Amino acid sequence: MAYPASDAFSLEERFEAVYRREQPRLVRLAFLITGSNGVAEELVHDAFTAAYRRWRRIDDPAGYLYRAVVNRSRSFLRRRRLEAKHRPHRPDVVLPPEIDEVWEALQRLPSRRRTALVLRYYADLTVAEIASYMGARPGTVRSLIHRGHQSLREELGE
Amino acid sequence: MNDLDTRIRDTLARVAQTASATSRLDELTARRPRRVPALALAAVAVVAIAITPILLLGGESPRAPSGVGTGPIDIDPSWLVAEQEDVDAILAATAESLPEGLQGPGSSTRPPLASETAWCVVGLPERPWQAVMLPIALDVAVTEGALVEACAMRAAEVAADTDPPTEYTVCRAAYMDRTPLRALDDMTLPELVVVRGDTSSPGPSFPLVVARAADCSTEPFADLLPGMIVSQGVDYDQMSQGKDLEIAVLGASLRNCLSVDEARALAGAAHEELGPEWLLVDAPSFVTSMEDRFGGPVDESTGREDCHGPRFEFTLGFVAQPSLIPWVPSEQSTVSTLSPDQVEG
Repeated sequence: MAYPASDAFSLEERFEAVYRREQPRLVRLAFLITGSNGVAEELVHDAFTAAYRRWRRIDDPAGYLYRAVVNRSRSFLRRRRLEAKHRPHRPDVVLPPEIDEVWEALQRLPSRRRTALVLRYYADLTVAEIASYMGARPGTVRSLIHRGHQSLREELGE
Repeated sequence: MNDLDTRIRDTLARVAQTASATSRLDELTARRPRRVPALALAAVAVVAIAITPILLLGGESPRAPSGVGTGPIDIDPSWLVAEQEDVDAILAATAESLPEGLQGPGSSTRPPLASETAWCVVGLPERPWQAVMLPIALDVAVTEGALVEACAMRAAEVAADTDPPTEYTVCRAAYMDRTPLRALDDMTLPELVVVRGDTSSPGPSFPLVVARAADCSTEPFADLLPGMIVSQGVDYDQMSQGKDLEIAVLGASLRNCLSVDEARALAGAAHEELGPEWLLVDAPSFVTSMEDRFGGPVDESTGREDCHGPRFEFTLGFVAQPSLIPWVPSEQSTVSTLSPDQVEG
Protein backbone atom coordinates (compact mmCIF):
# COMPACT_ATOMS: atom_id res chain seq x y z
CA MET A 1 0.00 0.00 0.00
CA ALA A 2 1.54 3.26 -1.08
CA TYR A 3 0.41 6.42 0.58
CA PRO A 4 0.03 9.45 -1.66
CA ALA A 5 3.38 11.13 -2.06
CA SER A 6 2.12 14.44 -3.22
CA ASP A 7 4.48 17.38 -3.05
CA ALA A 8 1.71 19.23 -1.31
CA PHE A 9 2.48 17.36 1.88
CA SER A 10 5.71 17.39 3.79
CA LEU A 11 7.33 14.19 4.85
CA GLU A 12 6.34 14.91 8.40
CA GLU A 13 2.75 15.47 7.49
CA ARG A 14 2.66 12.20 5.67
CA PHE A 15 4.29 10.50 8.61
CA GLU A 16 1.61 11.86 10.90
CA ALA A 17 -1.10 10.69 8.58
CA VAL A 18 0.33 7.20 8.48
CA TYR A 19 0.84 7.19 12.23
CA ARG A 20 -2.69 8.21 13.03
CA ARG A 21 -4.07 5.68 10.64
CA GLU A 22 -1.87 2.70 11.29
CA GLN A 23 -0.71 2.95 14.88
CA PRO A 24 -3.90 1.72 16.56
CA ARG A 25 -4.25 -1.08 14.05
CA LEU A 26 -0.65 -2.14 14.47
CA VAL A 27 -0.95 -2.13 18.25
CA ARG A 28 -3.93 -4.45 18.03
CA LEU A 29 -2.07 -6.72 15.65
CA ALA A 30 1.00 -6.86 17.90
CA PHE A 31 -1.23 -7.40 20.91
CA LEU A 32 -2.80 -10.46 19.32
CA ILE A 33 0.62 -11.90 18.52
CA THR A 34 2.38 -11.09 21.79
CA GLY A 35 -0.56 -11.25 24.17
CA SER A 36 0.48 -8.04 25.90
CA ASN A 37 -0.99 -4.62 25.27
CA GLY A 38 1.96 -2.85 26.87
CA VAL A 39 4.49 -4.79 24.86
CA ALA A 40 2.47 -4.21 21.72
CA GLU A 41 2.48 -0.45 22.25
CA GLU A 42 6.22 -0.43 22.81
CA LEU A 43 6.97 -2.58 19.79
CA VAL A 44 4.85 -0.39 17.56
CA HIS A 45 6.43 2.75 18.97
CA ASP A 46 9.87 1.31 18.29
CA ALA A 47 8.86 0.47 14.73
CA PHE A 48 7.58 3.99 14.13
CA THR A 49 10.74 5.44 15.70
CA ALA A 50 12.90 3.44 13.33
CA ALA A 51 10.69 4.35 10.40
CA TYR A 52 10.75 8.04 11.30
CA ARG A 53 14.54 8.11 11.15
CA ARG A 54 14.55 7.04 7.54
CA TRP A 55 11.13 8.10 6.46
CA ARG A 56 12.44 9.77 3.33
CA ARG A 57 13.75 6.49 1.98
CA ILE A 58 10.75 4.30 2.67
CA ASP A 59 8.64 3.75 -0.41
CA ASP A 60 5.91 1.71 1.19
CA PRO A 61 5.43 3.00 4.73
CA ALA A 62 2.50 0.82 5.71
CA GLY A 63 4.09 -2.32 4.35
CA TYR A 64 7.34 -1.46 6.05
CA LEU A 65 5.61 -0.88 9.37
CA TYR A 66 3.55 -4.04 9.21
CA ARG A 67 6.59 -6.14 8.50
CA ALA A 68 8.55 -4.38 11.22
CA VAL A 69 5.84 -4.95 13.79
CA VAL A 70 5.38 -8.60 12.88
CA ASN A 71 9.11 -9.17 13.09
CA ARG A 72 9.46 -7.29 16.35
CA SER A 73 6.57 -9.22 17.83
CA ARG A 74 8.16 -12.50 16.87
CA SER A 75 11.52 -11.33 18.17
CA PHE A 76 9.85 -10.46 21.45
CA LEU A 77 8.38 -13.93 21.72
CA ARG A 78 11.73 -15.45 20.94
CA ARG A 79 13.47 -13.36 23.59
CA ARG A 80 10.80 -14.23 26.08
CA ARG A 81 11.38 -17.89 25.40
CA LEU A 82 15.11 -17.39 25.82
CA GLU A 83 14.60 -15.56 29.08
CA ALA A 84 12.24 -18.21 30.30
CA LYS A 85 14.97 -20.76 29.87
CA HIS A 86 17.39 -18.88 32.05
CA ARG A 87 15.19 -17.29 34.65
CA PRO A 88 12.54 -18.49 37.04
CA HIS A 89 9.20 -18.54 35.29
CA ARG A 90 7.28 -15.37 35.87
CA PRO A 91 4.40 -14.56 33.57
CA ASP A 92 4.89 -11.11 32.10
CA VAL A 93 2.07 -11.12 29.64
CA VAL A 94 -1.08 -9.37 30.68
CA LEU A 95 -3.99 -11.24 29.24
CA PRO A 96 -7.18 -9.46 28.36
CA PRO A 97 -10.12 -9.88 30.69
CA GLU A 98 -12.37 -11.41 28.09
CA ILE A 99 -10.50 -14.60 27.74
CA ASP A 100 -12.40 -17.38 26.15
CA GLU A 101 -11.26 -20.82 25.32
CA VAL A 102 -10.34 -19.98 21.74
CA TRP A 103 -8.11 -17.13 22.89
CA GLU A 104 -6.48 -19.35 25.46
CA ALA A 105 -5.90 -22.01 22.85
CA LEU A 106 -4.47 -19.43 20.48
CA GLN A 107 -2.10 -18.26 23.18
CA ARG A 108 -0.77 -21.76 23.58
CA LEU A 109 0.07 -22.13 19.90
CA PRO A 110 3.69 -21.84 18.80
CA SER A 111 4.27 -18.24 17.87
CA ARG A 112 4.72 -18.85 14.15
CA ARG A 113 1.37 -20.60 13.92
CA ARG A 114 -0.29 -17.94 16.02
CA THR A 115 1.28 -15.18 13.94
CA ALA A 116 0.08 -16.81 10.75
CA LEU A 117 -3.45 -17.20 12.10
CA VAL A 118 -3.57 -13.63 13.38
CA LEU A 119 -2.42 -12.28 10.05
CA ARG A 120 -4.91 -14.49 8.24
CA TYR A 121 -7.98 -14.04 10.39
CA TYR A 122 -7.45 -10.66 11.99
CA ALA A 123 -5.45 -8.72 9.43
CA ASP A 124 -7.27 -10.62 6.68
CA LEU A 125 -4.14 -11.01 4.60
CA THR A 126 -3.66 -13.39 1.74
CA VAL A 127 -1.21 -16.25 2.02
CA ALA A 128 1.19 -14.41 -0.26
CA GLU A 129 1.02 -11.31 1.90
CA ILE A 130 1.54 -13.30 5.09
CA ALA A 131 4.53 -14.97 3.48
CA SER A 132 5.94 -11.56 2.70
CA TYR A 133 5.47 -10.28 6.24
CA MET A 134 6.89 -13.39 7.84
CA GLY A 135 9.72 -13.87 5.39
CA ALA A 136 8.47 -17.37 4.69
CA ARG A 137 7.36 -19.22 1.60
CA PRO A 138 3.66 -19.42 0.80
CA GLY A 139 3.76 -23.18 1.26
CA THR A 140 5.14 -22.70 4.74
CA VAL A 141 2.39 -20.26 5.57
CA ARG A 142 -0.28 -22.65 4.37
CA SER A 143 1.27 -25.34 6.50
CA LEU A 144 1.43 -23.07 9.54
CA ILE A 145 -2.23 -22.17 9.15
CA HIS A 146 -3.20 -25.79 8.63
CA ARG A 147 -1.25 -26.93 11.65
CA GLY A 148 -2.64 -24.07 13.68
CA HIS A 149 -6.11 -25.23 12.74
CA GLN A 150 -5.29 -28.77 13.74
CA SER A 151 -3.90 -27.72 17.08
CA LEU A 152 -6.93 -25.59 17.82
CA ARG A 153 -9.32 -28.38 16.92
CA GLU A 154 -7.52 -30.70 19.29
CA GLU A 155 -7.42 -28.11 22.04
CA LEU A 156 -11.07 -27.26 21.61
CA GLY A 157 -12.16 -30.86 21.23
CA GLU A 158 -13.72 -30.32 17.84
CA MET B 1 -15.94 -20.54 6.08
CA ASN B 2 -16.34 -23.20 8.72
CA ASP B 3 -17.24 -22.85 12.34
CA LEU B 4 -13.67 -22.83 13.57
CA ASP B 5 -12.73 -20.09 11.12
CA THR B 6 -15.59 -18.02 12.43
CA ARG B 7 -14.66 -18.63 16.04
CA ILE B 8 -11.05 -17.64 15.40
CA ARG B 9 -12.06 -14.52 13.54
CA ASP B 10 -14.59 -13.49 16.17
CA THR B 11 -12.21 -14.17 19.02
CA LEU B 12 -9.41 -12.16 17.49
CA ALA B 13 -11.69 -9.28 16.66
CA ARG B 14 -13.15 -9.25 20.15
CA VAL B 15 -9.82 -9.51 21.94
CA ALA B 16 -8.29 -6.88 19.67
CA GLN B 17 -10.94 -4.44 20.79
CA THR B 18 -9.64 -4.67 24.33
CA ALA B 19 -6.27 -3.26 23.31
CA SER B 20 -5.56 0.37 23.95
CA ALA B 21 -3.23 2.32 21.72
CA THR B 22 -1.99 5.52 23.28
CA SER B 23 -0.65 7.90 20.68
CA ARG B 24 2.96 8.87 21.16
CA LEU B 25 3.24 10.79 17.95
CA ASP B 26 4.51 13.86 19.77
CA GLU B 27 7.50 11.92 21.05
CA LEU B 28 8.49 11.17 17.51
CA THR B 29 7.88 14.49 15.87
CA ALA B 30 8.67 16.90 18.72
CA ARG B 31 12.28 17.28 17.62
CA ARG B 32 11.42 18.95 14.38
CA PRO B 33 9.87 22.39 13.94
CA ARG B 34 6.25 22.05 13.15
CA ARG B 35 4.47 23.63 10.27
CA VAL B 36 1.32 25.58 10.58
CA PRO B 37 -1.07 23.28 12.46
CA ALA B 38 -3.93 24.05 10.17
CA LEU B 39 -1.95 22.94 7.18
CA ALA B 40 -0.90 19.77 8.91
CA LEU B 41 -4.43 18.99 9.92
CA ALA B 42 -5.63 19.63 6.44
CA ALA B 43 -2.94 17.40 5.04
CA VAL B 44 -3.79 14.62 7.44
CA ALA B 45 -7.42 14.92 6.59
CA VAL B 46 -6.81 14.90 2.87
CA VAL B 47 -4.42 11.97 3.05
CA ALA B 48 -6.76 10.07 5.29
CA ILE B 49 -9.59 10.62 2.87
CA ALA B 50 -7.39 9.62 -0.02
CA ILE B 51 -6.30 6.36 1.50
CA THR B 52 -9.56 5.28 2.99
CA PRO B 53 -11.09 3.75 -0.12
CA ILE B 54 -7.86 1.96 -0.82
CA LEU B 55 -7.02 0.75 2.61
CA LEU B 56 -10.21 -0.06 4.32
CA LEU B 57 -13.87 -0.41 3.92
CA GLY B 58 -14.59 0.26 7.55
CA GLY B 59 -12.81 2.52 9.94
CA GLU B 60 -11.88 -0.29 12.30
CA SER B 61 -11.19 -2.96 9.76
CA PRO B 62 -7.81 -4.46 10.39
CA ARG B 63 -7.10 -5.17 6.75
CA ALA B 64 -3.43 -4.58 6.18
CA PRO B 65 -2.07 -3.02 3.03
CA SER B 66 -1.17 -5.20 0.15
CA GLY B 67 1.82 -5.13 -2.14
CA VAL B 68 4.33 -5.40 0.66
CA GLY B 69 7.78 -6.44 -0.22
CA THR B 70 7.84 -5.21 -3.77
CA GLY B 71 9.96 -2.19 -3.06
CA PRO B 72 13.49 -1.86 -1.75
CA ILE B 73 14.00 -3.00 1.80
CA ASP B 74 15.37 -0.51 4.24
CA ILE B 75 17.51 -1.68 7.06
CA ASP B 76 18.28 0.00 10.31
CA PRO B 77 21.75 1.57 10.04
CA SER B 78 22.45 0.58 13.62
CA TRP B 79 22.43 -3.04 12.46
CA LEU B 80 25.87 -2.41 11.02
CA VAL B 81 27.39 -1.22 14.28
CA ALA B 82 28.54 -3.76 16.83
CA GLU B 83 27.17 -3.14 20.28
CA GLN B 84 27.24 -5.02 23.53
CA GLU B 85 23.67 -6.06 22.85
CA ASP B 86 24.89 -7.92 19.79
CA VAL B 87 27.48 -9.82 21.76
CA ASP B 88 24.90 -10.59 24.42
CA ALA B 89 22.49 -11.85 21.79
CA ILE B 90 25.11 -14.10 20.24
CA LEU B 91 26.07 -15.55 23.60
CA ALA B 92 22.47 -16.01 24.66
CA ALA B 93 21.52 -17.69 21.42
CA THR B 94 24.54 -19.92 21.74
CA ALA B 95 23.52 -20.91 25.23
CA GLU B 96 20.09 -21.78 23.94
CA SER B 97 21.38 -23.86 21.08
CA LEU B 98 23.86 -25.90 23.06
CA PRO B 99 22.77 -29.36 23.98
CA GLU B 100 22.02 -29.77 27.62
CA GLY B 101 25.08 -30.55 29.66
CA LEU B 102 27.55 -28.76 27.46
CA GLN B 103 29.33 -25.66 28.56
CA GLY B 104 27.76 -22.29 28.10
CA PRO B 105 28.68 -19.09 26.33
CA GLY B 106 32.33 -18.40 25.91
CA SER B 107 33.29 -22.02 26.03
CA SER B 108 35.13 -23.81 23.32
CA THR B 109 31.89 -25.51 22.37
CA ARG B 110 30.42 -22.30 21.04
CA PRO B 111 30.26 -22.30 17.25
CA PRO B 112 32.70 -19.62 16.20
CA LEU B 113 31.96 -16.73 13.95
CA ALA B 114 33.81 -16.79 10.68
CA SER B 115 35.92 -13.89 11.89
CA GLU B 116 36.87 -15.79 15.00
CA THR B 117 38.71 -18.40 13.03
CA ALA B 118 42.15 -18.32 11.50
CA TRP B 119 44.51 -21.06 10.48
CA CYS B 120 47.82 -22.02 11.91
CA VAL B 121 50.14 -23.93 9.65
CA VAL B 122 52.72 -25.74 11.69
CA GLY B 123 56.03 -26.98 10.38
CA LEU B 124 57.97 -29.41 12.48
CA PRO B 125 61.30 -31.07 11.69
CA GLU B 126 60.89 -34.41 9.99
CA ARG B 127 57.15 -34.05 9.82
CA PRO B 128 54.74 -32.85 7.15
CA TRP B 129 53.15 -29.45 7.51
CA GLN B 130 49.99 -29.48 9.52
CA ALA B 131 47.13 -27.02 9.56
CA VAL B 132 45.17 -26.43 12.72
CA MET B 133 42.28 -24.11 13.34
CA LEU B 134 42.78 -21.06 15.51
CA PRO B 135 39.80 -19.91 17.51
CA ILE B 136 39.91 -16.20 18.22
CA ALA B 137 37.69 -15.11 21.07
CA LEU B 138 34.72 -12.92 20.35
CA ASP B 139 36.08 -10.08 22.43
CA VAL B 140 39.63 -10.24 21.16
CA ALA B 141 40.67 -7.89 18.39
CA VAL B 142 42.37 -9.37 15.36
CA THR B 143 45.99 -8.40 15.87
CA GLU B 144 49.29 -9.98 14.99
CA GLY B 145 49.98 -10.59 18.67
CA ALA B 146 46.69 -12.36 19.25
CA LEU B 147 47.16 -14.54 16.20
CA VAL B 148 50.70 -15.52 17.09
CA GLU B 149 49.74 -16.26 20.67
CA ALA B 150 46.89 -18.51 19.57
CA CYS B 151 49.06 -20.25 16.99
CA ALA B 152 51.84 -20.80 19.53
CA MET B 153 49.43 -22.57 21.84
CA ARG B 154 48.18 -24.82 19.08
CA ALA B 155 51.66 -25.44 17.74
CA ALA B 156 52.77 -26.54 21.18
CA GLU B 157 49.95 -29.06 21.22
CA VAL B 158 50.86 -30.32 17.78
CA ALA B 159 54.55 -30.53 18.64
CA ALA B 160 53.82 -32.86 21.52
CA ASP B 161 57.07 -34.73 22.04
CA THR B 162 59.29 -32.24 20.28
CA ASP B 163 60.15 -28.59 20.63
CA PRO B 164 57.40 -26.29 19.45
CA PRO B 165 58.23 -23.68 16.85
CA THR B 166 59.58 -20.38 18.04
CA GLU B 167 59.15 -18.35 14.88
CA TYR B 168 55.80 -17.21 13.66
CA THR B 169 54.87 -15.21 10.62
CA VAL B 170 51.43 -13.94 9.88
CA CYS B 171 50.53 -14.07 6.23
CA ARG B 172 47.46 -13.47 4.19
CA ALA B 173 46.00 -16.26 2.16
CA ALA B 174 43.61 -16.40 -0.73
CA TYR B 175 42.46 -18.99 -3.16
CA MET B 176 43.13 -18.74 -6.82
CA ASP B 177 40.35 -17.85 -9.15
CA ARG B 178 39.71 -21.16 -10.76
CA THR B 179 36.37 -22.38 -9.61
CA PRO B 180 33.13 -20.67 -10.48
CA LEU B 181 30.82 -19.73 -7.71
CA ARG B 182 28.31 -22.29 -8.75
CA ALA B 183 30.63 -24.85 -7.24
CA LEU B 184 29.24 -23.63 -3.95
CA ASP B 185 25.90 -25.09 -4.92
CA ASP B 186 27.13 -28.59 -4.41
CA MET B 187 29.30 -27.92 -1.45
CA THR B 188 29.12 -30.30 1.43
CA LEU B 189 30.91 -29.79 4.67
CA PRO B 190 33.71 -29.99 5.25
CA GLU B 191 35.60 -30.16 2.04
CA LEU B 192 38.15 -28.23 0.15
CA VAL B 193 36.55 -25.32 -1.57
CA VAL B 194 38.20 -22.97 -3.95
CA VAL B 195 36.33 -19.83 -4.67
CA ARG B 196 36.81 -16.92 -6.93
CA GLY B 197 38.94 -14.25 -5.38
CA ASP B 198 41.44 -11.67 -6.44
CA THR B 199 44.67 -12.88 -4.98
CA SER B 200 46.62 -9.97 -6.37
CA SER B 201 44.80 -7.30 -4.47
CA PRO B 202 45.76 -6.34 -0.95
CA GLY B 203 42.15 -6.68 0.01
CA PRO B 204 40.10 -9.40 1.48
CA SER B 205 42.07 -12.22 2.91
CA PHE B 206 42.11 -14.20 6.05
CA PRO B 207 45.17 -14.45 8.19
CA LEU B 208 47.24 -17.54 8.12
CA VAL B 209 49.88 -17.95 10.78
CA VAL B 210 52.87 -19.95 9.74
CA ALA B 211 54.82 -21.48 12.54
CA ARG B 212 58.54 -22.00 11.97
CA ALA B 213 58.75 -19.97 8.80
CA ALA B 214 60.45 -16.68 8.33
CA ASP B 215 58.50 -15.51 5.34
CA CYS B 216 55.23 -15.97 3.57
CA SER B 217 55.67 -18.46 0.82
CA THR B 218 53.20 -20.90 -0.59
CA GLU B 219 55.83 -23.40 -1.57
CA PRO B 220 56.45 -25.18 1.75
CA PHE B 221 52.87 -26.25 2.17
CA ALA B 222 51.62 -26.27 -1.39
CA ASP B 223 50.46 -29.84 -1.01
CA LEU B 224 48.64 -29.03 2.16
CA LEU B 225 46.81 -25.99 0.80
CA PRO B 226 46.37 -26.61 -2.91
CA GLY B 227 45.21 -23.59 -4.79
CA MET B 228 46.01 -21.23 -2.00
CA ILE B 229 48.29 -18.28 -2.49
CA VAL B 230 50.08 -17.09 0.60
CA SER B 231 51.70 -13.70 0.71
CA GLN B 232 52.57 -10.90 3.06
CA GLY B 233 50.43 -8.01 4.14
CA VAL B 234 47.56 -8.86 6.43
CA ASP B 235 45.35 -5.84 6.85
CA TYR B 236 44.45 -6.01 10.53
CA ASP B 237 42.22 -2.97 10.38
CA GLN B 238 40.25 -4.63 7.65
CA MET B 239 40.01 -7.83 9.59
CA SER B 240 38.87 -5.99 12.70
CA GLN B 241 36.32 -4.12 10.67
CA GLY B 242 35.10 -7.38 9.26
CA LYS B 243 34.87 -8.89 12.69
CA ASP B 244 32.96 -5.94 14.13
CA LEU B 245 30.63 -6.01 11.18
CA GLU B 246 30.04 -9.71 11.47
CA ILE B 247 29.20 -9.36 15.14
CA ALA B 248 26.86 -6.48 14.35
CA VAL B 249 25.13 -8.29 11.52
CA LEU B 250 24.75 -11.55 13.39
CA GLY B 251 23.56 -9.68 16.46
CA ALA B 252 21.01 -7.77 14.41
CA SER B 253 19.87 -11.02 12.83
CA LEU B 254 19.38 -12.54 16.24
CA ARG B 255 17.65 -9.56 17.81
CA ASN B 256 15.35 -9.00 14.87
CA CYS B 257 13.63 -11.81 13.10
CA LEU B 258 14.65 -10.92 9.57
CA SER B 259 12.82 -11.96 6.48
CA VAL B 260 14.71 -13.25 3.50
CA ASP B 261 14.53 -9.86 1.80
CA GLU B 262 15.69 -8.05 4.90
CA ALA B 263 18.59 -10.44 5.33
CA ARG B 264 19.54 -9.91 1.72
CA ALA B 265 19.36 -6.14 2.15
CA LEU B 266 21.49 -6.40 5.26
CA ALA B 267 24.09 -8.45 3.40
CA GLY B 268 24.20 -5.81 0.70
CA ALA B 269 24.63 -3.06 3.25
CA ALA B 270 27.40 -5.01 4.97
CA HIS B 271 29.08 -5.46 1.62
CA GLU B 272 28.95 -1.73 1.03
CA GLU B 273 30.53 -1.16 4.41
CA LEU B 274 33.37 -3.53 3.70
CA GLY B 275 34.14 -2.22 0.26
CA PRO B 276 33.96 -3.48 -3.28
CA GLU B 277 37.04 -5.65 -2.99
CA TRP B 278 35.12 -8.02 -0.78
CA LEU B 279 33.36 -10.71 -2.64
CA LEU B 280 29.62 -10.72 -2.36
CA VAL B 281 28.10 -14.04 -3.23
CA ASP B 282 24.45 -14.18 -4.05
CA ALA B 283 23.91 -17.79 -4.93
CA PRO B 284 20.24 -18.75 -5.04
CA SER B 285 21.07 -22.17 -3.74
CA PHE B 286 22.28 -20.52 -0.59
CA VAL B 287 18.92 -19.05 0.13
CA THR B 288 17.86 -21.52 2.71
CA SER B 289 15.72 -21.56 5.74
CA MET B 290 15.15 -24.01 8.48
CA GLU B 291 12.23 -25.36 6.52
CA ASP B 292 14.44 -26.24 3.58
CA ARG B 293 17.15 -27.71 5.71
CA PHE B 294 14.82 -29.93 7.63
CA GLY B 295 12.77 -31.00 4.67
CA GLY B 296 9.52 -29.53 5.81
CA PRO B 297 7.91 -26.99 8.07
CA VAL B 298 9.74 -26.72 11.32
CA ASP B 299 7.80 -26.99 14.50
CA GLU B 300 8.63 -24.08 16.71
CA SER B 301 8.75 -26.35 19.69
CA THR B 302 12.21 -27.27 18.46
CA GLY B 303 13.27 -23.73 19.24
CA ARG B 304 13.95 -22.80 15.66
CA GLU B 305 12.44 -19.88 13.88
CA ASP B 306 12.06 -19.03 10.25
CA CYS B 307 14.43 -16.13 10.64
CA HIS B 308 17.38 -15.34 8.47
CA GLY B 309 20.65 -13.51 8.40
CA PRO B 310 23.61 -12.90 6.13
CA ARG B 311 26.53 -15.20 6.52
CA PHE B 312 30.09 -14.06 6.57
CA GLU B 313 32.60 -16.47 5.24
CA PHE B 314 36.09 -15.19 5.63
CA THR B 315 37.56 -18.58 4.95
CA LEU B 316 35.93 -18.68 1.55
CA GLY B 317 37.53 -15.60 0.19
CA PHE B 318 36.22 -13.10 2.62
CA VAL B 319 32.69 -12.90 1.62
CA ALA B 320 29.76 -11.07 3.01
CA GLN B 321 27.16 -13.08 1.27
CA PRO B 322 23.43 -12.98 1.48
CA SER B 323 23.25 -16.67 1.76
CA LEU B 324 20.70 -17.15 4.42
CA ILE B 325 21.15 -19.12 7.51
CA PRO B 326 18.87 -19.91 10.36
CA TRP B 327 19.42 -17.80 13.40
CA VAL B 328 20.33 -20.74 15.58
CA PRO B 329 24.11 -20.61 15.91
CA SER B 330 24.45 -24.35 15.96
CA GLU B 331 23.37 -24.31 12.35
CA GLN B 332 25.87 -21.61 11.50
CA SER B 333 28.55 -23.89 10.26
CA THR B 334 31.73 -22.27 9.19
CA VAL B 335 32.80 -23.83 5.97
CA SER B 336 36.13 -25.47 6.30
CA THR B 337 38.55 -24.88 3.52
CA LEU B 338 40.45 -28.00 4.38
CA SER B 339 39.45 -31.58 4.12
CA PRO B 340 39.11 -33.45 7.40
CA ASP B 341 42.31 -35.38 7.01
CA GLN B 342 44.18 -32.13 6.52
CA VAL B 343 42.96 -30.54 9.68
CA GLU B 344 43.60 -31.27 13.24
CA GLY B 345 41.82 -29.84 16.21
